[in-house]
Amino acid sequence: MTAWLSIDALSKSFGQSIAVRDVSLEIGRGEFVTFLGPSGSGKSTLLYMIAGLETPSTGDIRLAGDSLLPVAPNLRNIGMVFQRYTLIPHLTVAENIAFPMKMRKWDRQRQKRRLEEMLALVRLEEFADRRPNALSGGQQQRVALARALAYEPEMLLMDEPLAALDQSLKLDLQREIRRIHDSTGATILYVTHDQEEAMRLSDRIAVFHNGTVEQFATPGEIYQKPGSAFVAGFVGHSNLLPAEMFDEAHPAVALAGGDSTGTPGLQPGKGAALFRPEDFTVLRSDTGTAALTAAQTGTITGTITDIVFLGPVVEILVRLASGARILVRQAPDLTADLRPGDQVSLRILRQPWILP
Amino acid sequence: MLLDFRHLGALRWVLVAIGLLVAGFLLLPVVFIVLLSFGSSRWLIFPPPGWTLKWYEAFFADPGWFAALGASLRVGLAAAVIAVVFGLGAALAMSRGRLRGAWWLHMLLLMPMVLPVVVLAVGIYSLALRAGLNDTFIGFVLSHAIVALPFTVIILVNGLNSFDPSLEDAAVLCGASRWRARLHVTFPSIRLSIITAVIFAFLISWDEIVISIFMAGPNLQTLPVKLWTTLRQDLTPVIAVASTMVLAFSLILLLIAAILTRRGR
Repeated sequence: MTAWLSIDALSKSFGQSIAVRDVSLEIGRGEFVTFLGPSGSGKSTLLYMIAGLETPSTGDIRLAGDSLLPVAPNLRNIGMVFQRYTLIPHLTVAENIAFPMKMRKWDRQRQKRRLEEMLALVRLEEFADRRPNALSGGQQQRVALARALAYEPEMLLMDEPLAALDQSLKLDLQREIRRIHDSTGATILYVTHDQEEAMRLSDRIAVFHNGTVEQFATPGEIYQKPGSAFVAGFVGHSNLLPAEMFDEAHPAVALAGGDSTGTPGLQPGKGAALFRPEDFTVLRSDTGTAALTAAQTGTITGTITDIVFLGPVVEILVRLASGARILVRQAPDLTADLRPGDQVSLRILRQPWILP
Repeated sequence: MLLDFRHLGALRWVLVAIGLLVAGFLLLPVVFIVLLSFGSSRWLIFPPPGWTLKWYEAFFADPGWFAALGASLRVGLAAAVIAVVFGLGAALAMSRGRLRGAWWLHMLLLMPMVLPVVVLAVGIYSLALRAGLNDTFIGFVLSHAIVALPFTVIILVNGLNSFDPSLEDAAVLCGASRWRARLHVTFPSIRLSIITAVIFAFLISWDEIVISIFMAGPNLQTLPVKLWTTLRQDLTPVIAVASTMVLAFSLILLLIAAILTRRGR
């Protein structure tokens, strides 16, 4: 995808502390990009700099080749939805949505047409004359979304817009945001600390850590091929075992500490093999699967230390001979006869990803 | 709650008694002056031997009193507007955080409230003498605005601090310039604080006496100054009438402020 929005070596420091350090990203037109990271990782600061509400210390932001930095925030033609509800309290829903059009001095007919489109887009036609405080949090955020999209901005920025909402409402609105992205083709930059939300919404995810971008890739790559231990740990649960890859082309793995027999003769501990909790099948060592001995490639043996029932899955914590612990998720019906203390074999279902 | 009024038993009557005593102590002078303004005695005897409205007639018949009342109203209004405009500017600068030394500025602006009024009055007097502002409308307005400023700053800073700046930011991103956003979003949102600040600033000017005595001259004197000078020459019940007028007006404004604050919650 060709770069439309270029963030070029951007840094921002507040006094002694550096919020964003030397971040460069290339974002394509129409893309849905999420900045994911823990709080204080710089993701919101970057969004505020793009909006023009913060000034970068060094670096540049370019939109279609031209620097955005000299442009005042009210002239950048960017829409933004904030985490807190930012509807103007003394105006009705319709007046709030029309506010940016009024500021742009659109003619009345055009304002009216666009207002109706927007109310329909967020499905709030019957609430047009209500005041914001008569709406629920979810409805207020939908109005904020309509207001931010009303003037056809080049970019829509969203700063944790759903963080204050409860879970089921969150899912509804995520679906709505996705639908709006598909139907309007808007470029959306979305900030969240919720990895599931990031996965659900984004074309690409930039994972932030300590003011830098650890990885910028599709959700699938982020999950399956994380670029760093931080990304592996932040997105999904990760089981990391010391390992060494012995063939770059066919990355088979030798695990350390005798947890797998893999290929003998390799020095363990030169890298880390990433296993996701769903990468295993748990087999009891004393049943018919005893054929899968510790000598067989592709299994790890250990002892169950804990079993937690979560509904759709059961989480099983297994302690390996080396002392490492592995979290496994299984369908409940496969684990009915397992108890803490049981000796089990973990059959590895897919090649682990080797972290550099 | 542990100290619930209903569960205090006999002790609560003690509390009620203390409350009534304090209220009486605070209110009695006010009640006295109002009753005296209707009393028929020339010598402010209490209780009044009879009731009359003649002192009110005298008050409204005297152009001097009327001029003082008008001066007080005009000075108060102008001083309130100036104190609120400058207070709002200062409050914006301080509550929007980026300003270096905001804390020092805040302390500086609160100085007129902490400083003994006489000290302030002497300073203002000598400054006004140099500038030729004594006995002028502008002199009165500026000096009153100085005393009112700390109060407007406190009220407006509180108002702005309870207002979420993201609202203003959102309006800016909607295409409004910073000042248009303030005009359309911020100021309407803190309008109760602004009105309260205007009322308090007016009230401070309305019963300001120390600085006003220094400022006053033959051209211009506010109601409290007129009261003071009249009192020194002649103990007439018209003074009680003027006091009652001052009181009534203050009460009305305080009532409006109280209603507004309650509605704001």
